[in-house]
Amino acid sequence: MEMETIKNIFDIISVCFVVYLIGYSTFLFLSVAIGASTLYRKKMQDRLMNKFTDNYFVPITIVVPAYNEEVTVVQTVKSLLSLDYKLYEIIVVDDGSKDETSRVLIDAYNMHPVRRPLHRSIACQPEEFIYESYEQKVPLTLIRKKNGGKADALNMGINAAQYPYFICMDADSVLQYDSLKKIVIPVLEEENVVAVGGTVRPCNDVTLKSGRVIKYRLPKNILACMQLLEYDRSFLASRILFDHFNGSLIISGAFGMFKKETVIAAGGYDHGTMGEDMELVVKLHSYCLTNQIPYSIKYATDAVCWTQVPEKLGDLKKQRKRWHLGLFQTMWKHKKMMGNPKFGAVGFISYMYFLLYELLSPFIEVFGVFTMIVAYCIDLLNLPFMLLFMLIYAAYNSILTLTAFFSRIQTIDLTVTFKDCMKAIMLCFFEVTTLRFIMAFVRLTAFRGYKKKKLDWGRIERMKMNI
Amino acid sequence: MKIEIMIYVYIAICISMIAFNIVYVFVLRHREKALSNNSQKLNKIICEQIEVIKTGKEISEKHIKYLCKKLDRTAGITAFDRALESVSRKEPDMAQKYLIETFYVFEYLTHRYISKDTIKIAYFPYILHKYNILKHYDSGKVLDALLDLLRSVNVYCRENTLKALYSMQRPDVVVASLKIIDKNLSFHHAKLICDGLLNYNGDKERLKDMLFESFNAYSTGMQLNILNYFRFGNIRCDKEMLEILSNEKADNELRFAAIRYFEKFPIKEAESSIWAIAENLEGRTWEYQAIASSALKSYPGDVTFRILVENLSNSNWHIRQNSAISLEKLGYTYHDLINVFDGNDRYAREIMRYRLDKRNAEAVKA
Repeated sequence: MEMETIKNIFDIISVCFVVYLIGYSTFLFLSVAIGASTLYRKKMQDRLMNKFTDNYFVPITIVVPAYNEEVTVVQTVKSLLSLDYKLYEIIVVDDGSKDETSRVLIDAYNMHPVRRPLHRSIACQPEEFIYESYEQKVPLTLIRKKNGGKADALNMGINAAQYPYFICMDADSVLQYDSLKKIVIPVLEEENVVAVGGTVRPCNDVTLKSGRVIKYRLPKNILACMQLLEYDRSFLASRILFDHFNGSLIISGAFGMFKKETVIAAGGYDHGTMGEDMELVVKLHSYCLTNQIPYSIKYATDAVCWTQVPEKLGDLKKQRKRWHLGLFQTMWKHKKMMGNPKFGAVGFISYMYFLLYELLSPFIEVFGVFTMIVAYCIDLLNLPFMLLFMLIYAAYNSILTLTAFFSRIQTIDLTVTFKDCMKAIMLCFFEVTTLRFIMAFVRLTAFRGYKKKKLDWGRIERMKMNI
Repeated sequence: MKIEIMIYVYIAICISMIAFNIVYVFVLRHREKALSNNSQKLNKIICEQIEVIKTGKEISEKHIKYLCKKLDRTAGITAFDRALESVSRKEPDMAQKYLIETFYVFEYLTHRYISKDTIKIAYFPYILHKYNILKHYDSGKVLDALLDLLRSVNVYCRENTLKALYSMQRPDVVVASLKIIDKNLSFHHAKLICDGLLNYNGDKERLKDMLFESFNAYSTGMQLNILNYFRFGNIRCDKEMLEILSNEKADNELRFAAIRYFEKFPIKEAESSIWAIAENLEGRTWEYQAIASSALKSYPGDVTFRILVENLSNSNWHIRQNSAISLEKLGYTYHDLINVFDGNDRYAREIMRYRLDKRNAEAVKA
């Protein structure tokens, strides 16, 4: 091949890259700008009493799927029992744990065995036993079932739910004391709300008591701290932007509320995907749009769930591989939505964003690095220009991350120390330049042996929380 | 180099966003301090005027003008709110008298606020409601303006306005408000209407009569809210509910509301209708049978027992469950239900056993 041809190929590749990066930076900028302005407007609304001053209780079932959660499950239920809400029930579904998850819960809350028949609206693995507690402020139920994966456990919870809305959450997460009051607000504000996503915040090194933040600080662990910055950027940016045109494709499995009737009609959680949380939301879009059912999927910025993020790189890698596989499975399953006018903005904007900037991004990024190395070897790379470009790009991303971080801190009335501010400033650059690329490689290898992991809960090391 | 220029532009915008964040932190701190100072100053002024009222004199025109100017801005009205809250805690009666004396200010402000941004407008009816300002002073101008605010696209503006209107304690105003909300294209959740009506502390009997007088003028959704309000608010309207219950042409949801009402307020006249519905003699959808089976827990007797036991074997899960709950609540024992436990219907056995076990466990706890 002649040098001229090679040069032309590299020219085409570089133009594609520039277009890709400009597209991504424009999206990031728009989403952070819109996200920040939305949060400030929300704060002003609260100040001027644009909020419900009376308590309106929409009945809610909280479903807690648990697998080998003996370390955290009792604390999680304790925090759920202290929520500032009147009309709710808690259902813990033990998905055939190999540890003492059920036993610790039964002992801690003096639960009694019952022979409760369940209305199976959605197929799931059979129950082994059911326990109930009559001594708590709200009904507490434990269902132990045959192992079937997280989606299967959630479906069991939906079958047992008595109320019209249910919340799914992780057994290692803590809902903030007012999170239920906040997450129902979109249902009261708007018609046809079928799902509401909450905000997930890392709680490593945060002290919580009865769902209230007693002491807030950034995680000591650098990896956890970088994830906090990443969460803030993600929740502030894309979720609020997508919310503006009813285009959210993800409601975190750690905290989301759904209308039971619609979820059952759509078929419940899919057992076959690892990203059952995303798959359900995409399925709800697809179901409602195909059947011309008016609907909206909202995001409650002030409904907060605190969760532990992995502090070890190995755990983080496992988690991200799982998320990426889940993303792939969901996108593949609902590929008919891609650019399909029938699905409107969800098909054109949301789906395409997730395809190009989430699913394919590790391939594109790694390919980019590879191209640069090759170009450098055959002397086709203007190294100083490339380094300047990358530096500016990294600085740009870091600033956006910081904007997201400070916007969130200010608008949810948390205070951070000067030391933590400095830590965030220093780590954001590292997160953009290092962690992001490590994760790109990790996600690239996510497909290795994925068939074996289909029903795997994706274990990461659990720690007792400061609650 | 065009790409770098673009990136530089982005960076410049981001730096300005960070600068905005930093400035915002200082604005927040300053605002809190300014609010505190302003409210303290207003508190002092209000207390001085209350002293004037105590001596039997009228509030000075200068003070009225001062309030009109001050409260025209949101910073002023939020400071006034804080100041008045403090005064109301110490001297509630005098605070009310002060508000009566200064009513002109609110009449004036009504017309100032309705032209502002909806977020700012919402604060004004909130203040009117919080301090019951409209309870003691009837103003056609204010009323018309508030009724107009019910057409706002901002749900909080409508909600705060509804509360302010309820605080007038005039049933005719409540009826007019509900008609506007009903005709408005903006969605107002049924729970907000129904639970909101419970805040009405005026003549509830008169309100009930007026709501039934204009009942047919409302949409089915609003009629349902009204019926639910009567049930939750313990407002007896047996005659009207019986009419709905026995009218087979009435909307399903309204008849469901009537059945639920007679579950809460059982009367002999409703019994046969509920039996008939529970037995599905009307040939209606399963929801009728399920709701009626639930209502039967308030109608003890042999007929009820027979119907509930029959419904325990219904193919619909909800009917079975509600029948089992009713039998449990009516106090039947394993002995009374021996035919169910000895029978062939496993579903009926399981649900009934669960309910009775649950009752026993709860009794042990109690």
